[in-house]
Amino acid sequence: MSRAADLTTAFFARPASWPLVLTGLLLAAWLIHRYGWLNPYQQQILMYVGIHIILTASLNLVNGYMGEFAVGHAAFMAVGAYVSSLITVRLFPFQAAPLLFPLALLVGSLAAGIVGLLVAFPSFRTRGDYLAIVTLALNMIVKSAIENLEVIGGPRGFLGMQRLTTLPWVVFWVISSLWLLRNFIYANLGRGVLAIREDEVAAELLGVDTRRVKLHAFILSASLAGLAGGLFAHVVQFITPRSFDIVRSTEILVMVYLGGIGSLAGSVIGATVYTVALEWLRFLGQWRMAIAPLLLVFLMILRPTGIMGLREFVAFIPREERNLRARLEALGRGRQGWPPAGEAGRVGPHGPA
Amino acid sequence: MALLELQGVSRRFGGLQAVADLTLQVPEGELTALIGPNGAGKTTVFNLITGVYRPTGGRILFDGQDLVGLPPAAIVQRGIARTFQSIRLFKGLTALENVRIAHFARVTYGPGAWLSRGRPFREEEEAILAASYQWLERFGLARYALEPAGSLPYGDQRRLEIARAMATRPRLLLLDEPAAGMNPAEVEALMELIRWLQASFQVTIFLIEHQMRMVMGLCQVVHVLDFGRLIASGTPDEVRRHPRVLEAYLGQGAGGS
Repeated sequence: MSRAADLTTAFFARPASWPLVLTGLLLAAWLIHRYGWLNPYQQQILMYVGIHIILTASLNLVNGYMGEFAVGHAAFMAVGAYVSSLITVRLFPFQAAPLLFPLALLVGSLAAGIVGLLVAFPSFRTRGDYLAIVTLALNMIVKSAIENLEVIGGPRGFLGMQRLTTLPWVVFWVISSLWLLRNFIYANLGRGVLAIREDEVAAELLGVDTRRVKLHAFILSASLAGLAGGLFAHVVQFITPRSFDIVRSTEILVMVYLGGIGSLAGSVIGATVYTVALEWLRFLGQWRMAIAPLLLVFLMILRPTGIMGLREFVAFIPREERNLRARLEALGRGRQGWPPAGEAGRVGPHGPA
Repeated sequence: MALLELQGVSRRFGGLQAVADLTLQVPEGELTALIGPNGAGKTTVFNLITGVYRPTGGRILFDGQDLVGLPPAAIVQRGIARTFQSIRLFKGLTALENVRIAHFARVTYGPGAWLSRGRPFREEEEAILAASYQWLERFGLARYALEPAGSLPYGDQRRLEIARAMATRPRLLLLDEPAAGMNPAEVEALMELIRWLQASFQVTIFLIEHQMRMVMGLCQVVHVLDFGRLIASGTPDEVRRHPRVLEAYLGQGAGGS
């Protein structure tokens, strides 16, 4: 174990560490935004990174942690983007919009969650590839539905949003989303999610209500994608159905499998690396768009679990789960069969950390 | 009093009658075995009891209540747990996690609790952790608690599967060929374990077995299945001498001698 890793572990073992880091992050984001420490272009890239982190982590819950294969996440993003934009443009008074922005995001996210529920209900009744087909279809349906709705601009798109998404807001929503996902995963429903990935039949025969688990996971995933959509719409200030086509969905898939399935740290890494890399490759012009599908193919062949692949940074594991070894030691003190054969290393509940 | 009662249970897969009009009882507190040649329909019977398949006819009564039509998870909550012929552990998860998952249906905390991870959440989780660890200790698996289940030695994987099933606190434990692939010493240890389980936890055990030795040494009552039909029931000694059983195992003509 490297010294840096040990220091990280020691740092995050202290109860006050997380609030400190998060406050620092938020403060830094606010300072950058307020005093323009980074130019608008750089800030925009950072915002895209944050939005992509939310999208990636949300899809990772279904595809990585649960082992299903949803491919149309842009559909939920579209629902969140259009609903929140309609609210801020048509419903909110212009001056009050910045204050009410979080409300619009939450309603957009809720709408995406409801669409997620409508999709999850029929598609989880059967097994296997069905979900992939249904989500792919959903992506196309949502896109053509928007194209045919003239009230919201149809194929020409929808505009008029103020640039309400700022770096501090993005940082805030990224932190909230990851926190929500972490708490979900390291609790009873999250254990159910992992059990479904490992062996659905065995899970069901141990009393795991697999339908309830899947619904929860899918709705949570869809809502977070909707939230990301709302943030996205208020950065670019102009959305069209084409912003949420299958190419966008593919990009999210690439970020999930690049960063690593079943890992929040992997989602952060995947989203960051992909977003920044794509900016660097702007000179390639249209050819840039060929990168995502190609990358997906190569990843699936060469490293199907991604960079982090089912591993997690200690910082993303709740404290109670991080010191399992110590807790077990306390439980097993004075009984036989302890200490364990292996040396005391850092171990998370899902395997080595 | 029968804890489990199958009344004329049938299951047809297309043209194949996998289980035909099966009637048998599993008395509470006893060890009952289901034996039969390969393909006799033994595992199908377990799948019918646990709700993996739905019977095409008949009733399955557990403690007097009909189980037919209930989803598997609901049947587990009624108090039936099982293991599998081919081990079905969550191989990528730790041994501890395997057992913790078995507590799924018993968790009472709601979304508010897991969101905040406050005191009620932590107390319940602590209780689950302690109970899970205790199951590992009882089965001599404590030192593997944080190892991936798939990395355990074969015999220990079998035991972990039983520990995991027991963690659902069943009244009836279904063991599907628990001794498959074990050497004689391991079979001996397994028999010891099953006796200990029955004595310590008042759990009724219904087991499918191939190895006669194990059935003979353990069970009070043995049912024999062949081509989905019950061909004999009785004590191990009775069954061993039954002409139709000999015929099923050794072929036509063997029973007549």
